[in-house]
Amino acid sequence: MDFSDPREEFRQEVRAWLARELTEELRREFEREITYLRVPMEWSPAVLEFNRRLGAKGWIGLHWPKKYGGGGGSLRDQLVVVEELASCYAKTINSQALHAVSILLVHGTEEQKMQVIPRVARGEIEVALGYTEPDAGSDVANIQMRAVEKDDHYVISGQKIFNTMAHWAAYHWLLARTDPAAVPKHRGLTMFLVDLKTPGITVRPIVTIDDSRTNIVYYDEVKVPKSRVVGENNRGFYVAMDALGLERLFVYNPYSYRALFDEIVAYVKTTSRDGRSLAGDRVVRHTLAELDVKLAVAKLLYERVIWMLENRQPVAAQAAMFKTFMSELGQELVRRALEVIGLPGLLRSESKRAVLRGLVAMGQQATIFHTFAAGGNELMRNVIAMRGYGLPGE
Amino acid sequence: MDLNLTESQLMLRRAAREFLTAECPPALVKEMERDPRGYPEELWRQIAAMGWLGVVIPGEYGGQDGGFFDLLVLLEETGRAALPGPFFATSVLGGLSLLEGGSEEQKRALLPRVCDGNLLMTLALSEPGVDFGLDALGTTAVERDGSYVITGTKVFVPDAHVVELLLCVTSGSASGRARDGVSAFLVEPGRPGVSAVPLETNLRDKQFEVTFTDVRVEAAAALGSVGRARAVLERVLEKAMVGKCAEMVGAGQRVLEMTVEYAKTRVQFGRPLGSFQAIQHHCANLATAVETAELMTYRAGWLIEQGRPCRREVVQAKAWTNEACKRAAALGHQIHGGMGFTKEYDLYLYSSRMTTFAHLFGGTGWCYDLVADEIGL
Repeated sequence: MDFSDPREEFRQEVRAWLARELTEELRREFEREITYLRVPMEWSPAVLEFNRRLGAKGWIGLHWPKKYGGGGGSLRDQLVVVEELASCYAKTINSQALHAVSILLVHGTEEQKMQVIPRVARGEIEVALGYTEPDAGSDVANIQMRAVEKDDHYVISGQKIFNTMAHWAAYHWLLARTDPAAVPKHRGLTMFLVDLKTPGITVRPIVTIDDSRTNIVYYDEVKVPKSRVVGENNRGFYVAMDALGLERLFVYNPYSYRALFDEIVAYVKTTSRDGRSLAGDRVVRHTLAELDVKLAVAKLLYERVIWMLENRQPVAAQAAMFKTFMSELGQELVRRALEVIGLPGLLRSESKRAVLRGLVAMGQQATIFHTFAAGGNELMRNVIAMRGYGLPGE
Repeated sequence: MDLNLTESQLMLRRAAREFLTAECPPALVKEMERDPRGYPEELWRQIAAMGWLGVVIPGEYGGQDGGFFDLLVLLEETGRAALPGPFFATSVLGGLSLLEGGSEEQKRALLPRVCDGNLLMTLALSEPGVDFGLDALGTTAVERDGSYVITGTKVFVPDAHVVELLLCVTSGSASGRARDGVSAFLVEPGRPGVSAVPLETNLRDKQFEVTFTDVRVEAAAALGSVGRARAVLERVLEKAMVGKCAEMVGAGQRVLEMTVEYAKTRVQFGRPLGSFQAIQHHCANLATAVETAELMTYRAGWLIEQGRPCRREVVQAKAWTNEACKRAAALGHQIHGGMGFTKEYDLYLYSSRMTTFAHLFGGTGWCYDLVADEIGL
């Protein structure tokens, strides 16, 4: 049994670097644009430059092989960087690429790896996920976008939706149907690494209720060379499923919520409501104590997934448990912080009376999608029951 | 992080599970609910012979020289088996108090007898109006002619009918309700002025109200020295909280196993219950509750074993284990339906311990107050 943090020294190094490099302006922009997994209409030059500096430092792909521009270190090392960024409400902005890279390392050709991974590690490019369609949300196997084999390439037509980052990414990590007659349906899908500048691709914005951006992506007879197939033909579903545990650690990171919680506590200590000190109110004290306890639980679930990954154990059920717990706790944290803070908590960051720089108000809208995105929590609970405890399928 | 038990801890767990499966089956636990003593003498002898009572006590006092985590491994198993009897009272409340706060003389005289199962002990802490903690005790110990006179009423004193020594916690001031001057006196239940009456609980565990009416004790009966037991008792109570968590986690694991098994085999509407998503989601929530309670308990236990300050982590663990176990017990019953509600079935043995222990040694509200203090509110 061991619950210590053996990376304490490296953590201090990252913290010190961030204290220097992450200027007040950058911090405010990250807060405004990407807290709660939001995505801006566009990145500012300062943020793009910061991401490249992070890459130059070697802190985007610490856990990838050196051959592909990585650091040859461990996942735990890389997550220290992710955690320290999250503690400042910041992140590596090309974080969707981490999902694609972890799969490419297993299934990609040498050419694909060399083309993509070093540039991701340098912080230059993003790889946008292209799974969801209007009729294929949590039901990934129902993907309809059609890829037809022709000579040395595929011709792809159809529509993807909620492909966040597609407006900025260099590549599209596309799952498309190569066998319409396949039974079961998930055996007729193939994974493609598509250059988003290929003629026939159109990216249109969707504005979400948290003032964030996602996209619809249309493919109109887009020619994609066969060399861009990742893994085997018709095995794309399995290729995609190989990474879903890892991604959740990077996306739903408990450290940003701990940072927010600490700020809420600091606010409560200095604030009165109805003429009484908030910190002396038993309801407020118990609310914050309960949240403190749950944040500790979330962190242990998170650490457990990492520990199991390091020991090469399957993590489907444990990653699902972490994702479910963390996403529901995020919503609860914001909801209960609003109860504690009262009306000022509703004010957006641009308001002169905003508290906690509008972060709680922002979370009111922005946390809504966390429980249905990246595998809806209902699906996650099925995974826990079936993969973790062997309950039968229908 | 490393969640693996050591080889010796795994062996201890395996041995304890095998022993308790054979010697403490559910039928025995149910039989003991109606037994006046509450446990078979023979079972107690066997447990003592295996060295469980002194698992964390140093060899020089007759113990096994183990670490705190070894004790947690055992408590998880006793919780899993719903073991009746004074194991927790004697080994945790009695043994650890002596070890943490006893004088060398007390340790030499008493600990070997705790280890070999001949000295049964318990703690008299809670009072009417004071569920847990050391801050508002009304029982007093007043000096008179070189000895001390204890007056007050204690409740939820486990196993008072069989112990040889009660460890009675008192406030120092004559009026009581004082923050400092906490003492703990070793008192024989047969001493003039001590009377014990049973408290009836759903669990049918042996809880007592113990009244101290002008009970005269010598200063030498104090744990350590008079008026200076607070720090010692805080450490003991932290260990007792985590120990209680381990028992709850053990019971929770049993509920989880039984429920998953039931969901796989019980057929309704022509298919196994566990193939319905509504049931799967209940199971997932039940599993999350039990697994997270275990993680929080292990973290607190590891910190204690490392000797690191961990007040916040300990109360976090108890608060979470309380709430998780209440939820897990309810979900286990919901999935089992009518069968789980019968006395014939075994589910209640574990679920009732989970929901009862959630109130002993720090209910959730008590824990939240401490967490809030620790956060600086």
